[in-house]
Amino acid sequence: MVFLGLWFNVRAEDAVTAAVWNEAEQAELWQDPEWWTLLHYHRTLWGRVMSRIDDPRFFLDPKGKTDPKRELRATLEAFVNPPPEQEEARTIPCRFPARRRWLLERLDLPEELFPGGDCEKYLNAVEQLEIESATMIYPAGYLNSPASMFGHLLLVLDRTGKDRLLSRAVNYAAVVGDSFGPLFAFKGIFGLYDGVFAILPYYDKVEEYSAVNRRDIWEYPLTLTPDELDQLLRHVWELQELTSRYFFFKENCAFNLLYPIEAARTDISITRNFRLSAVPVTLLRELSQTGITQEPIFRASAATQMDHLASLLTESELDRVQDVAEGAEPQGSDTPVMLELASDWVTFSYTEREITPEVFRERNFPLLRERSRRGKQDIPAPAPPFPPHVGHGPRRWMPYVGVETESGNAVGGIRFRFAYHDWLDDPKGYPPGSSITMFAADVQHEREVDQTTLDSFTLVDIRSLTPPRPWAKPLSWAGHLGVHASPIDRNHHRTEARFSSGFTRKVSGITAYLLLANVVRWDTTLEENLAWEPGVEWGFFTSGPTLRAGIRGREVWGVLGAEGRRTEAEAEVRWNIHSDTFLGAAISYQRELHQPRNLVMLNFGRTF
Amino acid sequence: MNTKTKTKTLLVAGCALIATSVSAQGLVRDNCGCGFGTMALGDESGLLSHLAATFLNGISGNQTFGISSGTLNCEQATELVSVKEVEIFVADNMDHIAAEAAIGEGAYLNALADLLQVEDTERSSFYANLQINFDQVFTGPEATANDVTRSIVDMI
Repeated sequence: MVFLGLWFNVRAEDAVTAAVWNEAEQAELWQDPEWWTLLHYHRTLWGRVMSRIDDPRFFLDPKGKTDPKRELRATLEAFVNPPPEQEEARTIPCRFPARRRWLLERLDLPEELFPGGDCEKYLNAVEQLEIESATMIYPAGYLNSPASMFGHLLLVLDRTGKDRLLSRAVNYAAVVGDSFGPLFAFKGIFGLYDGVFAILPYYDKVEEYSAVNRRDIWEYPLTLTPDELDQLLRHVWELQELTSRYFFFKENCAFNLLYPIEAARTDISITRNFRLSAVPVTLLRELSQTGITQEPIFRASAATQMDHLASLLTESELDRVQDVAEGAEPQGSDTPVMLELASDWVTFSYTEREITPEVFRERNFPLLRERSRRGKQDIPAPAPPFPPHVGHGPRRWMPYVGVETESGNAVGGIRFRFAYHDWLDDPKGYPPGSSITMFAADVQHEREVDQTTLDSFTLVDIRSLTPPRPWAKPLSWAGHLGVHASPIDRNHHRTEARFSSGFTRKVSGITAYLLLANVVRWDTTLEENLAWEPGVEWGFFTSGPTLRAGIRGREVWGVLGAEGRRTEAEAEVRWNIHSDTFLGAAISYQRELHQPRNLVMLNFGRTF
Repeated sequence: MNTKTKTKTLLVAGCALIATSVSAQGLVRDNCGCGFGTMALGDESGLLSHLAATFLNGISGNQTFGISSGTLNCEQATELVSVKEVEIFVADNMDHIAAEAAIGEGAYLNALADLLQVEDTERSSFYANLQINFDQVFTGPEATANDVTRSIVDMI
């Protein structure tokens, strides 16, 4: 009898499953974009359907990673007829609260069909964490690290009546055991790290970005309804502690954080589109266009705050601040601004590991005590710069026409850049003095000789031009790896790797730099195919919101493997006609083995 | 549920979350302490590390080196269970709190006031008190987070 009863019971649940499945099948629910978001499905370049999650615990069907239909069926079955579980945390409603809510709503099912009810543990956690809203956090790029302009995104869960510092940050990051840089990079690019979602106090992230890395932070509160927020949290809950391979290019921090947002606001579909890369700042821009973000709030970094305080002081006051920061006793004549800057300076030295914790405490404490005795002062906060989401797009088309002045030949060509920001691009929303180009090509046609050639292909070109501060004297540097057509024989290409370092000064809006250059040239016309050519690199430029101009050059001498001098110089002016469109004029000069090649060009640029 | 138990549960949840975050990080803040100087430190500077970092950041747009919660190595003042979260916050952010107390305003003080449930109308006098009594709250370079928390709670 017992056996029979059990048997009948099972049959009844099967019937329910069949009925529910029938409805799902009619609606072709496995093709629903929202189902794809919840399971992180996307179509690969070869048209295969694949979830971006690698952890098998995320799927209820063994083939769930690649089969949305089977996974949907297994999910419905598991909800209607849940497998016995000892631990509450491992029950189906607690493992997949977002799927549960979505299926119930989408199929308009009565809750009783899914036994066990909603996940109590989830409901309690949300109540205890007092989550009221969610905010997208974008730490801006920082000085002396051009690549940081790619940015980073994290999601914070704001608590009712609590300052955002007390929010919880949902961070997607790689689990890293290696501290050896190159290995880290290699494994990261090829997806050999597991990425996990982790929740930690937001003030820890603020500390990391603002104090240690000196990156300004932009906080974009999201416009979520309570229902949307609930579904966002449910999906974050589903993802906690799961792993997915951590590809730096695509499946990075920012990208994976979009899923909870898309689960909440179902008409956003950034993750489902095919894309080559997912640079955080681009995702931020796309996100801001959907209307889900509110006006951002600016949190100045320690560096920005120091620059700001320093701008309020005279040279002699700054000298005095340095003395105090280096251990001199604070005096009654030191102003509050001076004391605050001195304290920041000591803190800076400490985070830079220039002084020990003991020295830090002994120097900082008297400064703070002295400052406290001056009472409250109205020192204005630093003015926020342009927020990152208004910056220009990273990709760029740039057609040009011109003339080669030595031969009088007309030239025309087109440049394409995949990313990101060069020395004369619109500086709005980008860190000053930094530029980075990745994957750029220039194809040029010379009319009289009817010849089309690849003028250059740049794999990567990075420039970090940071003027010194009284408290920090960063090295300016530049690196380049690319293939270039020879100015003498346009059909001959050689590969150049360059690395330069030196210093930068900024005087009344003009940035000037001088770098010692090292060029390694791989060139089949050379006897040994390889040459080392040291030299210098220099430049001056100024960049405003509408008009930018600059002149720069490089002079190298063949020391090993090559002889003679090579000179390159260019001057360029760009004028913005629209935030993403500019007109420009340029002169470029190249001289090699005493043969010059000069171009005068007019160009048009469009970033997107 | 009275406030005390609620804070306790909340704390347990908080700890679980912190533990998760720690296991997700490869590196741990090496200067963890309970007083001043708990601020996280930067990476070794130098051109090579800049280059490596640039390369990595460029590709990942992500800072992966981790900073764990500074409270893990700290002894808690057990009798102050109800101000546990305050204590954790103070221990983790002591340098910022002291700096803002000296100035008499700031985001960290605001967060502290939120945790202590200081009424909006009382905030400015709370900040002013911290500034005026700086010497009593932050007794010296060796002051610990526990002492500071106790002084602040006593002050309210």
